Amino acid sequence: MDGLDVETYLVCGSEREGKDLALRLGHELNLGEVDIMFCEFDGYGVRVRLRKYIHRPGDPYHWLKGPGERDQLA
Amino acid sequence: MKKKRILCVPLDPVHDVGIKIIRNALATRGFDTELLSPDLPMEEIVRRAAAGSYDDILVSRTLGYGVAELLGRLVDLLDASGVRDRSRVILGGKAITSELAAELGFDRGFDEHSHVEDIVAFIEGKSSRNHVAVVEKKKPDITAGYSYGVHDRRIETALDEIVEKLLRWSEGKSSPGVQRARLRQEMFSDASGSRKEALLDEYLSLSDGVIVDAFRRNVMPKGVRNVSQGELQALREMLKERSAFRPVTLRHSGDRPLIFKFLGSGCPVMDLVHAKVCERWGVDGFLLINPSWEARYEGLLEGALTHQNDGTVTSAENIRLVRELLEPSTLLTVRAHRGLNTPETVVLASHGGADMTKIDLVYGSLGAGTDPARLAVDGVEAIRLAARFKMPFDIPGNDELSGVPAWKTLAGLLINVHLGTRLGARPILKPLFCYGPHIVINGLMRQTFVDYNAAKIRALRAIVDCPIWTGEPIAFMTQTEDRVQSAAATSFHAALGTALKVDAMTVASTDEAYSRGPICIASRIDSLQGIHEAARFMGMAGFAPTAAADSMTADMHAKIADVLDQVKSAPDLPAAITAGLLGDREDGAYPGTFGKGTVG
Amino acid sequence: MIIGVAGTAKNTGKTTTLGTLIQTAYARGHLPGVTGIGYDGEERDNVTLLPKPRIIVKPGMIVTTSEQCLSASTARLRVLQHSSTFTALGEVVITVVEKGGLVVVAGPNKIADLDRVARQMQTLGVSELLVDGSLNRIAPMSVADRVVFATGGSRSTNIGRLVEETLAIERIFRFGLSEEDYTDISGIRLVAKDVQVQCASSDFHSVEDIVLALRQLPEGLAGIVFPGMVTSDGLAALCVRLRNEEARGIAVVFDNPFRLLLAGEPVRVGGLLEELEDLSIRICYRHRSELAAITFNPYYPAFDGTTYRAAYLDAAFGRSALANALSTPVIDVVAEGGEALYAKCFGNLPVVTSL
Repeated sequence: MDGLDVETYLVCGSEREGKDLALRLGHELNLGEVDIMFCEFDGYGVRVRLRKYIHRPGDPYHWLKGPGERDQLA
Repeated sequence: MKKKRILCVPLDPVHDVGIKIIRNALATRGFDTELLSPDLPMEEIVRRAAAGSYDDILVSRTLGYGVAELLGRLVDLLDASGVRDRSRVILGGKAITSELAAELGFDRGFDEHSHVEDIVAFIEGKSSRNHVAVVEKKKPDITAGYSYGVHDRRIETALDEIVEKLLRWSEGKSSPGVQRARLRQEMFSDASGSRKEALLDEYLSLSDGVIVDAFRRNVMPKGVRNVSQGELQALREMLKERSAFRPVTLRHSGDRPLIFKFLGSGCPVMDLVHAKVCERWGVDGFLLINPSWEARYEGLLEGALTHQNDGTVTSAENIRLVRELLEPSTLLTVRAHRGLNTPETVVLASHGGADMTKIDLVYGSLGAGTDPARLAVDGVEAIRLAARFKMPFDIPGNDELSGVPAWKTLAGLLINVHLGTRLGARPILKPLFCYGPHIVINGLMRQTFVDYNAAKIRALRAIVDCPIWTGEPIAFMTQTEDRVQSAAATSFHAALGTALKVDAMTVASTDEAYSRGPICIASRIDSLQGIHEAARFMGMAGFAPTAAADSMTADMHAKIADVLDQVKSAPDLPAAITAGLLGDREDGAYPGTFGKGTVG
Repeated sequence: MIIGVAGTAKNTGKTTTLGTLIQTAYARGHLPGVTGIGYDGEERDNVTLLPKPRIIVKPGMIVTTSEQCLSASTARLRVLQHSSTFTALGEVVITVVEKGGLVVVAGPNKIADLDRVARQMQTLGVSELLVDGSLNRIAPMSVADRVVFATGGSRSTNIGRLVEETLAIERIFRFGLSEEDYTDISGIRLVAKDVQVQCASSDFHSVEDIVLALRQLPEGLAGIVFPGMVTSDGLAALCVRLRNEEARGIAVVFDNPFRLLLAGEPVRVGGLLEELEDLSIRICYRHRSELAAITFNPYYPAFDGTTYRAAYLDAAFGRSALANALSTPVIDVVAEGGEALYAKCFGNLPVVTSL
């Protein structure tokens, strides 16, 4: 409907490294630009949540079809 | 020691709440603190700092455009005014890192996540390593301060008789489990190894073919393999390089309840990294859970072993490895109550450095499949060993999960407690906080979950002075695969346990309801975050059970007494179990069959 | 010989200037010691997150870093001594470079500590010591014999204002040493022919302190000494007081030029000092440092509301505007290289074997 969150735990040595890894993960997953919503380093790694907006308010919504519109992937 | 004088400087007119909180915390600890108002020009701040003689100056400011230069100038002014010759200058605020503080010339920087304790430690000149909270933790003793006195005369009389009959019945009886436990002890005390082969031969003669194959032919049970030395080395190095960063406590105040989690991914390496992360997120202890098939085989394996399915193999090496790499103050419990290896597991647990074990003569044979007579003999021996090794043991009331009513389950727990006390051990009651079948069928939690859970605890407290550790885990059978629902369920039950002042709680991850794969670390952290928030919210306040809880408690107490009276009339405990007095077929409980006919 | 490299703001090219000095010195067979008053070596600017240059050091150089930054350096460093001075990144250690590479320079963050570390490095054989500034911080640079100021687009994108300010800085450094030795004074001191009156004894001279101290001026006033920190408001109060008094020919002594730079915006401070000079007052210092050169860096981080991106002033125009206004050499090290700068810093003074 709107967003895609990726929640995970990444093993790393610092918060900065964790954020870098998280952004790389976003790219590797072909999500492009992602926002790091949450990132907490605990000494062994980071608990992290990434967000990618698929539909923002005002975008054409692919789940809202007008009459006669065919189903299309983003 | 003369208390230091601290000047608190809010350079941030908008965000001065943080420094006010710190100032109050410091004042509470006896420091002589002064808080400047947030709208002073820089020169006035410097004048005040120069006019007073402060040991430390705390400056609070949020980073922003041009702020770095502002702070640099402040540091310079303090330096040029001679203030830095007698005062340390400390910077705190959002996004302040050590690197930034160093660049700006401060003596120390603290970001918005810093604990007051870190700041106090720095001010007092104590070591401010981030894991100091964990390293300085003392290992708790759940059983400390409990007398095990029974308050209810009628119940005490019944328990005395039940235990007496059991001990008379078990006298002179033995089992392969008991014999193997004795052999293990002899093997461990055979320092020179001269008797090793002979003892091993005898041991294997009492063991299942699967175990014999592992020892003699190096053929492991399906899915079991040795952890390589390389893996262990890498693990040790990894854990040496890292330590908990900003460890968290899950309690609002005081040292109870302790929070426990299960370990039993199958692989001790994965178990350990999970455990280290969980330690940092506030877990006080772990229960090592073994594979369910271990219950069926006579004998236990040897070596640092990994297992491809649920449950980490019980071996002295695995236990020792976990103990070695956990913090010294973290508690470790090894599960011993299922199946045919109960006393032997206690021996391995003690030898491996575990702190506690788990034994339940009733549930082990009603829900976990072991023959009542066999488990009674093994259990008595296991409790004797636990007493000798000074290992407290918990008694899990999991019978409820089959459908056994709570009062029968709790009656069973009390029998174990009384037996333990009689044998000089230190037992721990482990009633469940669960949504068990009996509760569901009878609508006992329809109005609220608080009352019935509270009733269990209140009833037990009215009967005996014994530590209570709710489990296993709490919120059992209330959780779904939805993470938030699952974390919320755990959090509420944890808040209730805290309010009821239990000594400890076992908590699950948000993967609890998901059975198609191992538990992930993120899911473990989910529930710990929830518990942390619940503790913060509840603090010293509590839950108010409704009036219904009182009648539930009275009812529970009375029914427990009734059950114990029935059990006391039975010839012995195994007979009572077999007769269904502590849970019958209608309840969904069936006496087990592993080890039937092996008591001699 | 201690040479400080200070910046008027972040990103004015201090690190590039320092690096250039090191390279040029090394090419001439020199191995200066390197320390700093903060922390430098980060790959990214802590605030803007744009990349920053780092400092290359050569084998044999003696460099300070902090314990926590030892492993961050790619150069191989051997710890010679611990300094017992501490920073937010741990204890400052004095190291020798065994294998060249990039280093994180970290050093003492206050005047007294820099003085001590410099002496320690001197006993280890350092005869020329480069002190890396940090941000716009300058107080510890009073320990330096010579100072290079790095300025540029990061300080102001308005070249007119940049020239005005740099000129004011230059003027502040022009004043000479006082004839008398006032080094033992701790409060505002009024010096007259037969008497010396000591007032307020804190190291920070507020406006109230100054007004109070100057309420009654002794007969035959010859000088006023401000050993501590004076702000521009304090200077203004001083001007007001002395304007109404016959103060021709007296000396007003400040501790060192850096105190006046810290007093307030250099242009305002400069204006107030000019007022004092107009009253025929002689301004001088207890301790002097020489302004060796100004370096100009056209770069500045342009902020668009959410992020920063690199931008540049007109390099040639900026440099020549400054050079035309100042008598101190103005150098763009990136465009011109380090020879002229090296000469101003290390040359033209007797090479002394001890600091």
